[in-house]
Amino acid sequence: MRNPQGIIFLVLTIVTLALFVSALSRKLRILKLGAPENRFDNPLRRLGNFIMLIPLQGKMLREFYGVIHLFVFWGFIFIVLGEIPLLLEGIFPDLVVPLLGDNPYFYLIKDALSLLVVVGLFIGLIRRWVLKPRRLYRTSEAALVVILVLAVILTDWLVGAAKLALAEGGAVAAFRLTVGYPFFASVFLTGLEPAALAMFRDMVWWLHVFVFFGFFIYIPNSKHLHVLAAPFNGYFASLQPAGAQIPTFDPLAEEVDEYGVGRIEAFTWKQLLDSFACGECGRCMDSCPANLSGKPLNPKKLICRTLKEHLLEKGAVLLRHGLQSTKDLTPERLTELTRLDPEAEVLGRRLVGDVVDPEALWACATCGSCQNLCPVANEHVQKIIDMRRFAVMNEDNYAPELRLAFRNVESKFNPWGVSWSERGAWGKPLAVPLWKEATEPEYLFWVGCAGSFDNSAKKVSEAVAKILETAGVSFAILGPEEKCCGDFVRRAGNEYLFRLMAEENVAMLNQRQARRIVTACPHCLNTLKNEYPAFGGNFEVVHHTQLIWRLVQEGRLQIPAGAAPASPQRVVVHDSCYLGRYQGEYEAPRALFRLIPGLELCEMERHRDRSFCCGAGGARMWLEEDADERVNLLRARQALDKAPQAIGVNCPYCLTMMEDGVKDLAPDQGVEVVDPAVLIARLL
Amino acid sequence: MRIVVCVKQVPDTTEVRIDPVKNTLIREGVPSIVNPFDECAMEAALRFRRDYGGTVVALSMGPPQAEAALRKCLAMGADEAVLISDRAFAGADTLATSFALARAIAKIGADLIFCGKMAIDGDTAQVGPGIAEHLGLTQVTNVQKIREARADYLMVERVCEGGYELVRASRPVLLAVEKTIGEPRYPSVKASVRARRAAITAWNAADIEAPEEKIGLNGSPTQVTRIFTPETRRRSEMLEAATAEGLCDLLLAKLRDAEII
Repeated sequence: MRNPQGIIFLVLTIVTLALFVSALSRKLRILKLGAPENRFDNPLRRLGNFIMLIPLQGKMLREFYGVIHLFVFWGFIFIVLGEIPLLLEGIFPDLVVPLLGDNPYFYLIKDALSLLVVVGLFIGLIRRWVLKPRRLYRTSEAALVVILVLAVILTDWLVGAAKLALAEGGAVAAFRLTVGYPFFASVFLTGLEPAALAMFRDMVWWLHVFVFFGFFIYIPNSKHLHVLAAPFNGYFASLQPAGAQIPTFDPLAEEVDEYGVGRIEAFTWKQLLDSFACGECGRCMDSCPANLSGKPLNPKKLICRTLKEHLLEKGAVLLRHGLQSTKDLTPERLTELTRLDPEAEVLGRRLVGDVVDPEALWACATCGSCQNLCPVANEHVQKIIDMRRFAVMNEDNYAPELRLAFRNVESKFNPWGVSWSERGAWGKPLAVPLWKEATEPEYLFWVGCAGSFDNSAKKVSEAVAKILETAGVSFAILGPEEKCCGDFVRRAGNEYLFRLMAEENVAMLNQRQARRIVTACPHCLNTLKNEYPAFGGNFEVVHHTQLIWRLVQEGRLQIPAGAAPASPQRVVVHDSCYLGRYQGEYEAPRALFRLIPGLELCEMERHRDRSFCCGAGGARMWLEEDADERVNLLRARQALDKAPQAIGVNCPYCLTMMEDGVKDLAPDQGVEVVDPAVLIARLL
Repeated sequence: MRIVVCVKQVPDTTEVRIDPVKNTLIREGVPSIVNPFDECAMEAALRFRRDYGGTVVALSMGPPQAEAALRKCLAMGADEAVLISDRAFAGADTLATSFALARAIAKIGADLIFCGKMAIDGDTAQVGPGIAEHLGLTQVTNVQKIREARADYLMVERVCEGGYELVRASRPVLLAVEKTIGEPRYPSVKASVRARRAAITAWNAADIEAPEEKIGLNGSPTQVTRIFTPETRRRSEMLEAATAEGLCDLLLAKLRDAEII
């Protein structure tokens, strides 16, 4: 029926496809500038991740607005499917596409989803431009896409309505279960002449074609590349446990000419894909302790603005000049290039310093909340560690207090710089046995630096020792043979020193034939359990709360009947990042608190895997915090709002940070900061 | 101009532990470090190089594992490192040690030598001056600052009780430095990696033309026969009285009883 215009439509289709493909291939060529990384293994597990994240929208659905995205997602798919029969009319007017073109159930679903999309888009508009949550950016791109999608849906409804009004056989049958088409037919198109209807149908069809083609070309050229990149990002998501995602390299074995990531193309292609996949939802920034405490780190902006804009800008120039990287670009060649092409100036910009604010890099506590919430499985933390590696290992440019902590770890084997020989001193009054003098103890108690030297954390070590002894569990400590596990060193970007610590500790643990390890520090737990296997250390590592809870369940540890009620009766629980998000353990600490007679547990709004960091992870413990609002004060305030008598913690860093917070905010209220082991030990 | 820094690898004994039976230092599980005073000497040499130019050579005598101390110096910024190591050096006292080091320095050819004022394991403070004597050089001990360097002399501050002396020392000169001369730098990762891979020159007794009778046990007029922790007997008594005068009287009586006053 539109045959005279078929040629025009065909040409238009080809031009559209060509523009789409060329935009997409440009993006792919930019991704290929990135470093290689194998994310092609384990296709079945990857498919599983993909299904959970993308079709099922697993992470989106964790909050109300995610439901709208679910509608928009599936609506988009059905609308695009609906385009197949609609557009093919342009060339083959009488073609009926099987399963789609004549399928009333397909149109029923598509019609219902279209309606939900329209409703969802309006809710989205209200949210973004009326409610204005801080995490959403009110950009023209966001507005334009709403208009385009509405136009696509509306013109589709009108074309279909015209077909119904013309009583076209195929349409009447296919649309018989729908609401939208008959509604528009009856409201707008009653009483029109067939000729007018046919003309209306053709005009709106062409309008639809233009809008849809425009949208189609717009996608790979805008932030809506998200819809194409996110599914791949879901498939290529890391398969490693959250605590084992930091890749290592050996500076002593490999000839590495540049450590870490100091130029955008030094990120792997997958890390670059993250920027394309980002849908700018802002869940990450809404839970980022650095961002919420006013630091210059904004995880969303880092991914979808700072890194992405620089990637596109630099990538275009690199491709234009046939370069893979600026690594071997001499200053002379750069000057020459910039003279010929002013845009080549971007090649001279330093990633860490000119593009990314170093202050932002150092604000990250590696709490992992951003990654935990990200619906498209972006990996924010490793990018930050990679850039820190560049600052520390390559440029030797980092905070003096961190330098001191590194030096202390290197020479005294703990960040405080206390003499290494004092490491076992806390256990002497309790006669805690040393591993080398003990006979095949059941557990090695890995005390950690804080548990050995920090006064508050030492009380936890003592409590754990007392509990294990009461339960009849034989255990021993390494004493001066134990060294800093290297958790903060690694997250501060010093892979060289981390390797030294890891290799020495693994050698010692293997020499002493330790197999089962219990530790009171979630950071040590994560490093020993998830990171030491790469260095030949394979141990069964548990957190003390996990072991104690198991001892209770097995009946090996009994809380004496008629034990005096604990002094704090209302305890608000704080989940540490490294026991919680990184290990997925939320129950053991709570179960232990519940053992205390008369103790009432309460939760903060941000709890379990949405817990808010104390602010000390990722080497933040050893860095000054200059900004007005400190992270530990934010968290302590959240806890104190629950009017507790004690704040329950399970990590020595949290212990310090919460104690400091309570001292600052409520010095006279007598709120204790306690590990459950300390309360249990009081009853024994 | 070549600057030599003499460094010693010592056990990290912030608290010396002595085996009560064998009367020897307990070394098991004790990490080795660069003698902290020598680390400061290294820092002083690097700052001197920064201000006046030259190349810095780190020199040590010891068993092959003393290489680790030299690698630390290379990481800090030494241009070269030399280890003199030979079974014949074993059992050397400060005289034989300073002789061997002096031979090596003569071979390297230096006009400025930095040493730490003493090592934390032996506490003798004799090796630096010994080297200067063997080589017939000017020496200044307890140096806390280099004020200025001229072609033929250095102006340095030498710590003495209650202050310092300003010493004009003709070159070539050996300086034995205090820790206050400068906090040793923490090497960058790149420098540490380079140092771990660097080649270290190794010389034996023949290489430095050290005659057998002057090195090791043969060249050592002194020997350590016993090492022990002296017992400290400390008794304390708390005096109590109602008034300050009463307390003073009580104290005076006690002191007179003990024949102290």
